[in-house]
Amino acid sequence: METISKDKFQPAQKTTNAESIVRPSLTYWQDAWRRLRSNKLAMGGLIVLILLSVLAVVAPMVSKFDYETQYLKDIDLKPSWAHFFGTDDFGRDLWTRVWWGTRISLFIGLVAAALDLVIGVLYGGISAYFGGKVDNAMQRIVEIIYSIPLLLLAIILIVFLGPGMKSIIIAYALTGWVGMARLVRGQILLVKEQEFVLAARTLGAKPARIILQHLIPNVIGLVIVQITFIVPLAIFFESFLSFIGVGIRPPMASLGNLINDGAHYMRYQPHRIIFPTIVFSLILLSFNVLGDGLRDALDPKMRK
Amino acid sequence: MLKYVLRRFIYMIITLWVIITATFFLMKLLPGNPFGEMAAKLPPENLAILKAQYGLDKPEWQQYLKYLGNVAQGDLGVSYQFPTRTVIEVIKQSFPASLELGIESLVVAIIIGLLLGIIAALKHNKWQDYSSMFIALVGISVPSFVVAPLLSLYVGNKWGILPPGLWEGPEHRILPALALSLGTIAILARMMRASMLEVSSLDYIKTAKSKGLATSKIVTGHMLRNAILPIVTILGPIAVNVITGTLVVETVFVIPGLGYQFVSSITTLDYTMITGLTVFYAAILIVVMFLTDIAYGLIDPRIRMSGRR
Amino acid sequence: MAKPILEVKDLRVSFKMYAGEVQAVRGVSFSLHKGEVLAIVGESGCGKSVTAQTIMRLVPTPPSYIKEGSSILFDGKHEITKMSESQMEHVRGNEMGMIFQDPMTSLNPTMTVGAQISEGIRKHEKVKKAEAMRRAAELLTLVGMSNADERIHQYPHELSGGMRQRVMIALSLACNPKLLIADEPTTALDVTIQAQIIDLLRDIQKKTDTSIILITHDLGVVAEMAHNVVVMYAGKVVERGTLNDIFYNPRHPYTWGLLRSVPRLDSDKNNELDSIPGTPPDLYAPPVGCAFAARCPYAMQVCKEIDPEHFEVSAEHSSACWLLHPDAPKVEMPIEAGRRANG
Repeated sequence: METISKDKFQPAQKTTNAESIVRPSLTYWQDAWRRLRSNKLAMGGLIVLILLSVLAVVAPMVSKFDYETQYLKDIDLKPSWAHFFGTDDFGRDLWTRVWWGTRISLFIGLVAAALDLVIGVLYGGISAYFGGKVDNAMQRIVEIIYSIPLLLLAIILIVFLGPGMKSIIIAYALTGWVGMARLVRGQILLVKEQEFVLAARTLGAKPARIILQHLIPNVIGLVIVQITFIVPLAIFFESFLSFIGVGIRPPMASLGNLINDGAHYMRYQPHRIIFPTIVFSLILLSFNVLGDGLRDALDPKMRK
Repeated sequence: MLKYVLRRFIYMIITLWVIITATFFLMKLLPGNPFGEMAAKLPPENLAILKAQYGLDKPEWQQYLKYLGNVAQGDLGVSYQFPTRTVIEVIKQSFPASLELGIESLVVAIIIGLLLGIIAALKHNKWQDYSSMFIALVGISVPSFVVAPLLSLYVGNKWGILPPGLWEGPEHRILPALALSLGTIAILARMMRASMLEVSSLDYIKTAKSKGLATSKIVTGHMLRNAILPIVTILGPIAVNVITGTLVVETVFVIPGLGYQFVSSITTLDYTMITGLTVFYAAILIVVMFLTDIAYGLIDPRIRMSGRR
Repeated sequence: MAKPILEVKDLRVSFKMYAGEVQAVRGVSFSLHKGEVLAIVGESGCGKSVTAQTIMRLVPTPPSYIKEGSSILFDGKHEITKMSESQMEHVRGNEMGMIFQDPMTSLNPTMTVGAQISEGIRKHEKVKKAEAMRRAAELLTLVGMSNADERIHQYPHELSGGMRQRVMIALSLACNPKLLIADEPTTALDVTIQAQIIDLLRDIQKKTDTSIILITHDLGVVAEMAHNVVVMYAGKVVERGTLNDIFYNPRHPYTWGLLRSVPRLDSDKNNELDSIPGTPPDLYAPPVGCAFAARCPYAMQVCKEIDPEHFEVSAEHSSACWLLHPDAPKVEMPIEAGRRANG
């Protein structure tokens, strides 16, 4: 201690500002992205999804075969260089059909997401933002729709309106979005009550500013997470309907009807069920791990 | 509480009414002859007699009221394909098998699902956690319509360990119950894990630890009870999961249950049977949701209390 | 002097987080004798709660780690940092009790208070359930609750905040521990209830001669109860001394700041309440020199380069500040600090 020179005991110049925050500040999205990137499982899911989507778009375009033409001399072929996934009992190329089915599945997932975004978010947002009587009336409607089982409604709609994409989408548009509406409403009500929104209002912030600055950023993460769970649900939904014979009808391919067909032939031609099942399960798995990862990444309470 | 129950009850009735009304008008939308193609060959006077017999000569609103009245009395109509069978008879005949299958799969799912969830939470971020959650992810990603055929083919046909189908002795129960429970196991395991982790970070767990209690005692005495409460809230989705699952599992394993009946009536386009069974399924689901809401209402004050900061 | 009941030496606790290591406690030493009340004071996040919970090994590992070289010697024979989990179970509740900050959340909502108190008794003393419940009722009476025989069958949500904190105190006293750690026992309570709880703690301390570690940021509570005070800042002890040393002869600029920020009824209304400017340092990367230097109005060059050791003022009083170095300029303690503190 004796070695400290005396001039060190002069009052120091104020060099650092005591109020400054040392840690670099990250925006909410930068921080979320950093956390998502560190989640290997979720990133794996994201990469698999991108790959599958690219294949679903590109593979049918570059394939020598289309999904419906029957080559009766090429029936029931095992996987080979000509037919990567083999052929079915009509001689149709399964590689092409599986990727067509993936297209259909992803398309239905996207439609469901869009419906959720448009109807669900708007409905929930309006209901929560206006509150009072409007909210009350809108919630009564939601509670009734919420108890209508989506799958049963879809089945009877399809039975009576005819099978196909249209009926599935109508069923989803009628009832599928209420989950999102409830979630968005709940979140907005929660945020509205919090002190920082109250503070903003007391300071005279305009409604538009409150919505843009406080409500939307606090809801958007939740919406994104919900969508990553909605998409696989809608995909499952279509496949389930196709499996029990009321979804997408052959010759159009869907993962559900491919799996259904495959189940009938799986004893002797396991390739017919294996490929569509793998693709289907990969889609669901990827969306689920990505959703879990996003939920962890976007939850600001977890921010450390 | 009574007011809450009453309100829920009214919602339940309204929802049922919406569904019954929707099915009625969908029936009316059907093109062609309500008695099938064979009836088209009947002479007009015979057709008129038939119509009068079924009340189809009256205005639609009267038919609608009569339909509502019938449903309220449990009369869901007559099969369109087999006019000698009423829908309610079919339900009486085939529902018990479905109910049994559903309950068996639920028991399996609750035991395995909760156990996986508890293990995962207690061994948070260790291999036990990762493997439990992997099983749960597989349960979510591989639906019953994939698992059921695979189980039937491999365990049933190829390895011959258990019967690949039918509904006779107890050994016929195992595979279908397992196939049906996988999805529910996944839901329960994930929910239970999240709930346990939530509870384990609460202050009163630290209090319990500060008393010197052993970890096992803290888990059984303090964590489990509080962690299981929120599980009640997902009974609705679980019921949906089980019921939709029976449609597939019964079809794959050829079980003479209501799900099998429903799917075959869809394939044969037995319209009255489809609507009748839809109303029945909807009623079950709505009652389950009603009970879930009541149960949630019962435990809610406690949850609010513990969650207050 | 008798052997201390608790001797903490160079305690270092870190949390391993995603973003790196947070050094929550960075070399804390103090000792506590039988019947003594020691207050640990400091701002939120200064490491006082982590210190307290580490004494009972209540901070989960991972993410927290007690660093090599740390020592917590309890009752002259138990080295807490080296004990196994099952040995700790014997110490917790039996030889040490803990009172937590928020009585609203620190009791199990689905268990009666009697069951929660008797649970600890039955763990440490082989008694029948009925006997344990009887003891629980006695304890509730001891902490000033009427109708104890009925209270033991009530659930926490049927009790008010003050009542719950009494239950918490009864629970911590259940096995007559030698050491009681009260982690901000009054912070979450209404002011009038705070006074009651402090009175109760003081009362119990006198009756049972238990040693108490009182964690708080409320200097009023310190003045009411404590014999000795440890002032913590950024995971370190910056000053230690008797109650009188700290209140009448504080030597560390941080302690001055703390004392000046206490509101007093008799002070001039026009006199603005002083606060310490700035925020505590980020413990992901603690500063090289004295952690308080960036906020200290008396900071010297040396403060920014070398972390000061403790300078002894008297046998019981020491302060980690370069101002006490013989070469340092003489700085007068701001008058208000001493005056304000004479409570």
